[in-house]
Amino acid sequence: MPLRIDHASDTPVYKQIVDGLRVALVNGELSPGDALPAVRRLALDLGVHFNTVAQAYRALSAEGWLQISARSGVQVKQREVPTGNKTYLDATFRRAIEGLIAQMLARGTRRASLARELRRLAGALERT
Amino acid sequence: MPQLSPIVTVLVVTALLHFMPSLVRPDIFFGVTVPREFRRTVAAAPMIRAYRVILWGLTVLAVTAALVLPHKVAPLVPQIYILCVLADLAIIHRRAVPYSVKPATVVEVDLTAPAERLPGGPLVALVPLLWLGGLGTWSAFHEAAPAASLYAAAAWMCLMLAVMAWGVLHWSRRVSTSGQAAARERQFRRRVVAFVLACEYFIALPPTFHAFNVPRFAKLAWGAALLLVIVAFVLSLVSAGQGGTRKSAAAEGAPAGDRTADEHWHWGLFYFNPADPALMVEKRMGIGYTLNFGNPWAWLMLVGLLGVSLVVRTIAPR
Repeated sequence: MPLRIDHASDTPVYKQIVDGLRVALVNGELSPGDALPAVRRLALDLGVHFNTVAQAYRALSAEGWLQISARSGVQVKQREVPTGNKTYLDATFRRAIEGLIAQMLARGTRRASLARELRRLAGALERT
Repeated sequence: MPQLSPIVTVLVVTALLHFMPSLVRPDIFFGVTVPREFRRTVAAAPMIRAYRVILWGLTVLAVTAALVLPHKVAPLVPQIYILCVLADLAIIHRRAVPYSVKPATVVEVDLTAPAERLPGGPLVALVPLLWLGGLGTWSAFHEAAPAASLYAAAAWMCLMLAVMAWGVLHWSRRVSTSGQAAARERQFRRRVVAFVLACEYFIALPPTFHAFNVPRFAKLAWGAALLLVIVAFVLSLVSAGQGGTRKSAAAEGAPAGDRTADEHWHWGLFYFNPADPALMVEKRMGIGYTLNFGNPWAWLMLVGLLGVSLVVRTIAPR
């Protein structure tokens, strides 16, 4: 299961690690019980500071995805889907997507190709 | 009668260095990140030619010096020769710098890559140390003049080698992290570690000979076996190394570079990057691993290794 980060991206590396792992967790590419690389190992391979990886692991642990222990390292854990305020979630989600769309348009991405990409993602979401 | 050992040393080093440009990664040219096909271009050929002309010129000079200089000075010839060869490499490195390309900024890591362990487990690395400890204790009680310093120096060297083996496995950067290239790299790293561990066992033997007064032929057999092991490992590392079987595996559209930036390499030989958490990285010239001198632990390791060799030279029984 590959995790990809871009050192030239505007997105902080810590966030790229969190996002990349979360996508793999949500899609089931990483299952409960799977062990993740130790903080030191992942930091060495990505060429980032240990704290960056540790921060990313802690964030995912706080979301309930990972179990971090001194003895068994970092493991994916069985996570209950939280029952949140649906209206609040919808509004937050929409705001985030609208923000991303605005960001991409500001960078010169064409509206048509952006719409095509959103349709492709929606299709993939419905299939899973 | 001229001394043979400086001449043999110089010739062996020259033979290895002659092929050095083709023993490294195809996207690293004299320590500079270049496009994969650069080595076959018209810009690269004169640089390789100049490097080899200087190398062989230095070899002729060194061999002549070893032949004509007095016996007291001749053993210094290989050291001076190696310094001159480093200068040769640095000169060609500077000529290659204008052709450098930016290494890929996208880094991929395989989260499910198997964990790597010392071949045979930690006990294999610790046996020579335990043996030397036991031998030292035994000699303190049974020998008339126990050579405690010899045992201590050998034990220290074994400890440093064990740390180095561990470092190659756990504190070094992986260049390829997925597919066939990653599997080949794991195999290469395993061979490097096996070589370092084998050296530990060879280092533990001379104090053993000293303690048990073994006959001369055993020492000769030790020397011959050491030479054979070194030759076998060098050949094995050449075939499994950066320019060996890994070359074709890495050619599967992998991004150029070795996950280190050119600006952190001084003369293509010394890696200094305080922001890099890796203690060791793959060499850009030659085969194997080198220290990240931007990491304070690397200096501690270097002092440990150099210090012990100085101590051994000073105190070893003649």
